[in-house]
Amino acid sequence: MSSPEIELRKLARNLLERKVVDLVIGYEDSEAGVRPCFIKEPGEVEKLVWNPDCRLSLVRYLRGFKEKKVGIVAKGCDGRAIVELIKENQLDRKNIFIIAVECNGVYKPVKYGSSKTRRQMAEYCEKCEVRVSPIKDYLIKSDEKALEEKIPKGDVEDLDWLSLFRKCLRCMACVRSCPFCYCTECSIEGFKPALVHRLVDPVELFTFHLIRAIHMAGRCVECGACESSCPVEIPLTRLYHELNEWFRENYGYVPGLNLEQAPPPLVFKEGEKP
Amino acid sequence: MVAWKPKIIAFTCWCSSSGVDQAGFEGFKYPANVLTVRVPCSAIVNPSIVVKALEEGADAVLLTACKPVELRKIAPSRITEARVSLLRRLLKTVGVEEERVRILWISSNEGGVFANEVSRIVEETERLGPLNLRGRMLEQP
Amino acid sequence: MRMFSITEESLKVFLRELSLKHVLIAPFERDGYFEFDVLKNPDVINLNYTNTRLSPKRFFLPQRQLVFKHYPRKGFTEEPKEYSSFVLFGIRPCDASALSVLDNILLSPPYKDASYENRRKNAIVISLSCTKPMAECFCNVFETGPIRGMGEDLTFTPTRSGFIVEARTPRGVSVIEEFGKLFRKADGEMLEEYSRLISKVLDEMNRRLKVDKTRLIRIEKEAGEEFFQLNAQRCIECSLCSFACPLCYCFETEDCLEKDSYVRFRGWDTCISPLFTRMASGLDPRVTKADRLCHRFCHKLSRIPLAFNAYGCVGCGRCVSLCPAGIDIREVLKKWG
Repeated sequence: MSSPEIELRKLARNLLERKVVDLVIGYEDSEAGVRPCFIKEPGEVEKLVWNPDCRLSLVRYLRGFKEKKVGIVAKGCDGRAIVELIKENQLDRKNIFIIAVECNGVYKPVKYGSSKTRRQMAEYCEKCEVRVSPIKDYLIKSDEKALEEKIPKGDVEDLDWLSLFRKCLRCMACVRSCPFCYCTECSIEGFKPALVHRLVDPVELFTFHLIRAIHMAGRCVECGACESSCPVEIPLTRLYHELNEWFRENYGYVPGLNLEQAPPPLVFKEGEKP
Repeated sequence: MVAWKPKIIAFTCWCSSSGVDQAGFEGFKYPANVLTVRVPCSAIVNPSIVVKALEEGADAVLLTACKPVELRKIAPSRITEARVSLLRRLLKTVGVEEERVRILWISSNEGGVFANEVSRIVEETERLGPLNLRGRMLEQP
Repeated sequence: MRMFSITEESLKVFLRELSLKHVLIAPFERDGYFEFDVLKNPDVINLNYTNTRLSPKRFFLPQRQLVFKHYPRKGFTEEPKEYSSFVLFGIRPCDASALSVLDNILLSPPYKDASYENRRKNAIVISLSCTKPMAECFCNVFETGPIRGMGEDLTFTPTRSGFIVEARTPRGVSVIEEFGKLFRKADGEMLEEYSRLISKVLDEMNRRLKVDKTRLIRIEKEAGEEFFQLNAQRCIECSLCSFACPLCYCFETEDCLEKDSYVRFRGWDTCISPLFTRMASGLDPRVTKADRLCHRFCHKLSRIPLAFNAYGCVGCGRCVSLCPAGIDIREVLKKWG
C-alpha cells in the first residue's frame, strides 16, 4: 500500500469522525476495476484507494449531493472542473471539501476486446500541466511514477474524424460521465426541438459530436472522462483540446485555473478583438 | 443531368435583411440558390443550428450581421463573430472546409454589397464542391 | 456421427471459399480492438482474438431499421422484404447462446418479430470456442460456454492438431457436406481431447465463480434493497451496458416525416435511460435510478427465466468491463445465487 493511500484514509476517517463532511467520494477497488465509492461511516474508509487506475472524474457525482457537505478526492483536472462549475453557479464552495491528490497521470483503460493488453498512459494526461488541483483544502503528495510508456502522438487533423464519428453508438456515456453536462434536459437528447433524433441516424452523429464540442469549448478541463468511458474509443478530448486552444489563442483563457477570471464570452473590453 | 448548384442558407439579421431587400429594390442580381432566413439578431443563431443546416444538406451557411461600429452595443456582433470563428476552427479540425461558414457585415442600405458578396460566395462554394455530409457519413470503410 | 476435424490450412481454404459463396462476417482487429464486420479478404481474420468489444447482435437487431414506409398520396405502404443472407464466423459460444435465447423470446408465438426471424433464418452461425476465457467472463454460470454454446450451427474448437468441428444443426451438417473434402471424421483421440478440454476449461472457470443459477429467481422479491441503492449512486445512466449486451432486445419506434411519405424506424432503447418508461402524461413508473437498475437485473435474472425458460444473461462480461462506474453483475450473482 502506498503512502498517499494511508494518508487519504487517515484524513477521510478524521473528516467523517469530526463531522466536517457528511460523506467522502473516493475510489475503491473491486473485481470490475477501480470504481467510485461513497463513504458515509468512518469504519468504511479502509475501502479507499489511490492508484493510476482512478480515472473517472468524481466531480459529476457532486451534483447529486447539493445540500450535503461532501469531501471529494480530486486530481488536478477534477479540481479545475470544480473551479469552472463554481463559476457557473452549479456548486457551492462552502459545501465541498477538496482532498487534492497529486496526480502523475492515469492509465488508459484496457477494456473488453482490446487487442493490446499492455498498460499505457492516457493521451490526455501527457498534455496535462496541472498535476494538483488549483483550489484545495488538503494536499496529499504522491510520487508514484508508474507510467512511462507513451502512445505515439499524431496531429489532430490527421485523424479522419468523420469515420471516428461513424463508429459512435450514441450511448451518451460521454455526456453522462462529463462533469460539465449537468443540464437536466440535454439539448441533443430532448424532443423539442429535435436537433438529433432519438434513434441513431448516421448523419446525425456529425451534428451530435459537433454540438457537444461547441458546448464544451472553453469549459472542457480535459479530464478524459468522456474518452475513457467511450466504448469505441473516440479521442474526444483531442477535439475539445483544439477548441480550448482557440480560446487560449484569442482570449488567453484556460478553463479552471482561476476562480476570479470570468469566462471570456461574459466579459469583454472595448476594442478587443473577438 | 442538371448541373449541381450549391445550396446556401443565409441567416440575415433584422437590419441586414432590409439590406437584402434593398438589393431587390435597386435591381441588383444575385444567385437564386441563396435562401435567406430572417432572424431578429445574428447573435440568436446558435451554432447548433448552423451545424444542423450543414447536416440537412446546405453546402454553405452565411450569417449577415450589423457592422460592430454601427451598433450602440457591440456585444451581439462580437458574439456572432466569435461563434463563427470558433465554429470554423471546429469544422477545420473535423475535416470540413472552413469556408462553408461565413459572416458578412451588411448595413440596411448596402444592397449592392450584399449582391456582390453573395455572388462571390456562391462562386467560391461552387469551387469547393458539394458537402454531401450524408454520403460521407454513410460511406463504409 | 456429427464430429469432424479440420486442419489449420484447410480452415483457411474453407474461409476463402466461404467468403466467395456467401457474405462473410468475421472478427478482425481495427484500431486497437476486435470487431465484427463484413470481410472480403478472409486473411485478416484473427483466430486468436479474445472477444469483440461490441456484441454481434447488431447483425440481427440493427441499431436502427426501417419498419415501414407509408405514402399517403399514393395510398400504399412499403415494408422491407429482402434480407441478405450471411455467414457469421467466429462468434464466441456466449454470443451464440444469446441468439438462441433471443429465438426463445422473439420467435415464440403468437407474436413473432418478423425482421429478426428473416435475418436469423438466412444466417449461418459458426462459433469458435474459448479455450482461454477472459477475466470478466462467467459463462459457466449460465452454461453458455466456454466450449459449446446453444444457438450455433457449427462449433469450431481449437486443439493441438487443428480444429474439432461439431455440427449442431441440420444446417450445420449441410455446410459440412458442401465443403466435404476439407473435413475429416474426427478420430477417437481427438474426441477424447475434446471432452478433456471441456472439463478443463469449465473447471478453471468454476474455480473463479460458482453460482447456483436456479436460486436467482428470488431476486425479484428481495429487490429495492440497499444493494441497488448503493450501485445506483454510482450509475451514471449511460446506456452502455444495454448497447453492449448481446441479449438486450428492448426497442423503440420513431416516426419521421419525409418528402412524400411517413417512415417508421425501430431501434435500440435501454431501460437505464430515464426516458424509457416516461409516459406522455409525465407519469413514470420507474422514477429513481435504483428502480431502473433493479429492473435491469430482475428482468435478466428472474423475469426472463420465469417466462421463457432461459436466462437473460449469457455471461460474456461486456457490461462488467465497459461500465465506466464499475457496476458488476457478478456481485448480484454472488449475493442472490
